[in-house]
Amino acid sequence: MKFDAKKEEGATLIFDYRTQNDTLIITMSGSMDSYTAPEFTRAIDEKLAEGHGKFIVNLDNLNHLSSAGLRSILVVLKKITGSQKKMYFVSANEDVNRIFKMAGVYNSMFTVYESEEDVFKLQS
Amino acid sequence: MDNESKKKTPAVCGRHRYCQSYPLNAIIEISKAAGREVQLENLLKVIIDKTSELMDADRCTIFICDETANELWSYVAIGIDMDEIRFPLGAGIAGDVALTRKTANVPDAYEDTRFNAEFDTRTGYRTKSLLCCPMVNVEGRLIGVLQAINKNTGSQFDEDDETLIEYLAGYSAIAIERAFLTDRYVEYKKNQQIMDLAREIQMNMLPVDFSSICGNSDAEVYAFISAAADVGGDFYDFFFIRENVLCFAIGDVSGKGVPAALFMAVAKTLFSSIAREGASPGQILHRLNQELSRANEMMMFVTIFVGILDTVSGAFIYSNGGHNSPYILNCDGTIETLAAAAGPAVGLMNTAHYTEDMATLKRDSIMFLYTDGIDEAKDKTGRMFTVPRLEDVLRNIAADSLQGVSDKVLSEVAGFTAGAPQSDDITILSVRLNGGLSKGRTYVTSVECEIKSIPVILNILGEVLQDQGYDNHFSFDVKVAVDEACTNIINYSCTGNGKIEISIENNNRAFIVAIKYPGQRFAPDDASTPDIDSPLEQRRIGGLGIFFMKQLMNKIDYVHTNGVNVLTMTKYSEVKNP
Repeated sequence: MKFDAKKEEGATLIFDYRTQNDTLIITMSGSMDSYTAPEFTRAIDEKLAEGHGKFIVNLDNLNHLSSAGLRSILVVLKKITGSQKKMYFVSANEDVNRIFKMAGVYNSMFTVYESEEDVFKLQS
Repeated sequence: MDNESKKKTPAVCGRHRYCQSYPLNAIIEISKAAGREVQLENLLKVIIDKTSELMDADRCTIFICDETANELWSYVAIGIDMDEIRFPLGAGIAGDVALTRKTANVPDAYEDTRFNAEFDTRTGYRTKSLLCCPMVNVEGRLIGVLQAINKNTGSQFDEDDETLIEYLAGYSAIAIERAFLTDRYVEYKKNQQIMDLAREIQMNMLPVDFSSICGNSDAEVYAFISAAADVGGDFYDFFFIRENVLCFAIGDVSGKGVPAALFMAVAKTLFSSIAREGASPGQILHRLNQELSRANEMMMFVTIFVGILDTVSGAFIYSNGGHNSPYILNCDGTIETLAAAAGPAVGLMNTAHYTEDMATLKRDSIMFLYTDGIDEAKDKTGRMFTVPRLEDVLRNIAADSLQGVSDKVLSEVAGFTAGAPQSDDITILSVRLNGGLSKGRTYVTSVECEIKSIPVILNILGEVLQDQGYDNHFSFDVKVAVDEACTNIINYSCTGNGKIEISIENNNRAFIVAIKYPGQRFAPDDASTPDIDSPLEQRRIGGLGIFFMKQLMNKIDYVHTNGVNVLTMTKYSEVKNP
């Protein structure tokens, strides 16, 4: 079985934005691999430049996360905390959480919350 | 007293030598002793006693001919000790008789120019008259010389004595030769027993329980060994190093007999202890060579082929120390020769270098290993079976069991040699992985060596995993591991240069991804285990990815040959795959 590589070309990490109260909710879908990972950093840089200060990143539809993806998350987090901004991660699936745990970052370098509601409840 | 008067001495019956029954009795005594005495020494004593008695001689000596040294030797009494004396054929009266094969009747030894007085000087004896007769067997071969010394009656030996001693010498020759043959036979039997014992010890070192392999996995092993008349040095071995990793070897020690058996025992023992420590085939041969070449003054050596097979993926790494190249017999009737990674025989030079190569043993293909007892099997005219003839047999071999393949080859060899004696050990070892692909397919794709190929690879992989019925968790793990592997390869090994070939195989036990890529060596083990407690930015680049690969997959194999790298990652399906 031979595959046609060409038809599969293109980025597969999709960002969806919406605002609730003063928080920008980013829903990240698809694959955070070594090719798509830098897009996350780029997207956050853009949103910081637009003046956003509070983020919820919903990982519900993220179905692939490699070490490059994890690295880009940590680069972003460093930038956020360095500029007194806030970022919360929510709804990561079992496999993504497993990667966080394997790398030793789960609930140590950042917390992964159950849902967006949990974050809002925490803030109120 | 002259000969004439001696001859006329009247015959007296009873103990007298002229009584017809008297020499006959002596001959019967010698014959009886020949049948009774296994020890040559005892037989010689009977001959000496009977000859002295019959010849009425004071002493009698038997010289035995040593054909290889061209000498005569004898035991003589010197004082109270028995000593062996030796002299060349031709020396002295006895030596001359041995050469001329003519009886010599000497009235006074000291008057004879041939006489060597040294024995008298050494033994303190005084020789006078002497009758010396050659002992020749029925084929005319010289066995020795029978000599009577000093006629008791004080006179010299006469013509009748000559006739008598010739009779006695004839019988003695037969008796002595028979004792020699018996002696040699006993010695041969003793050696045979030692050889049989050595062979038995050797054979006990070889595994014969093939079912233990079958029970553990899909791997099937069959071995056959047939020893030549002498103890040879063939051996084979197979065992699991750990779950799903089968190590096997076939070897042939130089030479024959007990030295070969001993060297084989050492080589075989060293091999299995090194291999069980988890060394790779090249490392095994390197270490085996280091050990065997140390203090190897006899310059013995062993040819050995070592393979380590992943029984799940079929990935197979091998190294060859001067042994015949094995074959892979494919189901379509074609054969492949495993001719790479060929180094010198093991044990000769401690500087020898052993490389490794990698192959894949497809399900249901047969790996066939053998020793040169097959290709060098000779017919009666000395023609050899040869490797091309073996390859002809192996091509399109119609046998579905390993034993069937082995039997077919052996019957072809037996047909060729047509009863000529087996000159060397014959050994066959065969290995097979049972159970073909669950869906009978291997997926192959190739992509450019660029980071933007990663999503392409992941998409293809995702489709195959889904197609093969794997769940999301299994797929997630495989995809992350392949992402990490390819990212490292692209970043550090072949950036923008050439293509990466990815082949995906799924069998009833595992999902296997093999990544073939050009460029400099990049092995997963080159990166140290990452310190997951230190900040990510400080960690070694690539280290975390490799850590993930190792965590997510069951097995990672890497081999680098001729500028091509092959990284094989295996994840066991367990119950998740139908």
